[in-house]
Amino acid sequence: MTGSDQDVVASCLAGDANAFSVLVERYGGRVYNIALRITGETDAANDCAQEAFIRAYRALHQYDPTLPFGPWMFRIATNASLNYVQRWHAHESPVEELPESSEEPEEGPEATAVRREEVAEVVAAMGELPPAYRAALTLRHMQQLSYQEVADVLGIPLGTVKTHLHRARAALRTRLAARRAARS
Amino acid sequence: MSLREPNDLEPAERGTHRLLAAIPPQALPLGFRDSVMRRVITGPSVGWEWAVALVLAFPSLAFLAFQVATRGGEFAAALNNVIIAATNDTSQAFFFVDGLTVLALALLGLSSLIAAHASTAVATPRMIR
Repeated sequence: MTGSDQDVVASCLAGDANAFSVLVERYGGRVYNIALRITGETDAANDCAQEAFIRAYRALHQYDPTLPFGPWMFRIATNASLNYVQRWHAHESPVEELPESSEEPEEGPEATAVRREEVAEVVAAMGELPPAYRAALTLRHMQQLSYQEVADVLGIPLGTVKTHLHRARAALRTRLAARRAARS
Repeated sequence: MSLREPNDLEPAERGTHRLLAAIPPQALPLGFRDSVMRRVITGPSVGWEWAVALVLAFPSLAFLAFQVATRGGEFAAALNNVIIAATNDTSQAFFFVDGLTVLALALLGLSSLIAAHASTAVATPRMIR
């Protein structure tokens, strides 16, 4: 099926459960990455992302087809991930994984290594932030959502989102500076 | 939603945005979609679990209720003994529980586990449109 998200949802509601796999295919990557950045663990992210899709499937009848499906799905994924972190006081240590970059820039091996190190450092610094800040930064800067979309996903007022993001960026800069100072 | 940056990105955010947007997305774990779909599709077939849980729980509950009704005094005395032993730091606690009661409690526990599993399984979306 290659129809719009709304068509796929309509098929699911008409009893075609298999149609839901199209939505899992379309949004799986982004949902998983949101969960990964909030929980900081690959296994937890996998569980939260799966849980988010299951919750979305259960709640499909509540989805308003006049609105885009993505932010609705991200909201469920964000809530599932934040619930996980609150429930288990998520292991605050960040994932130390090095990303499997599909778009490796054309640079030498040394520059690539430096870049990977920098990325790992940013990921680690982000993992030290409070979960709500991680969620806001992930949605805004990694999932490229507008302020209004971030507010909708997090279910908080626009002004609060701006404040959260402002503080989150400041906290991230502070942690990054501390890490760099400690390293040098 | 643009792919590269939010359409309302402010100049003050550009530095952080460059840093975070440079983090490449992680690939989905292998079999992710199949796992989700397995849970979605097998969701409705939990009816039998509820049936088994009921079949196990009902006779056990009935038996336990009967026991409490007919031998409630013994249960109260046994419980009292256990509480006294616990509060007095003594290991002398006498009480008697017959095998059928233990079996009923075990079956009740098992039925609770099955019911808990069934309640966490996926339900089909309600068709309201």
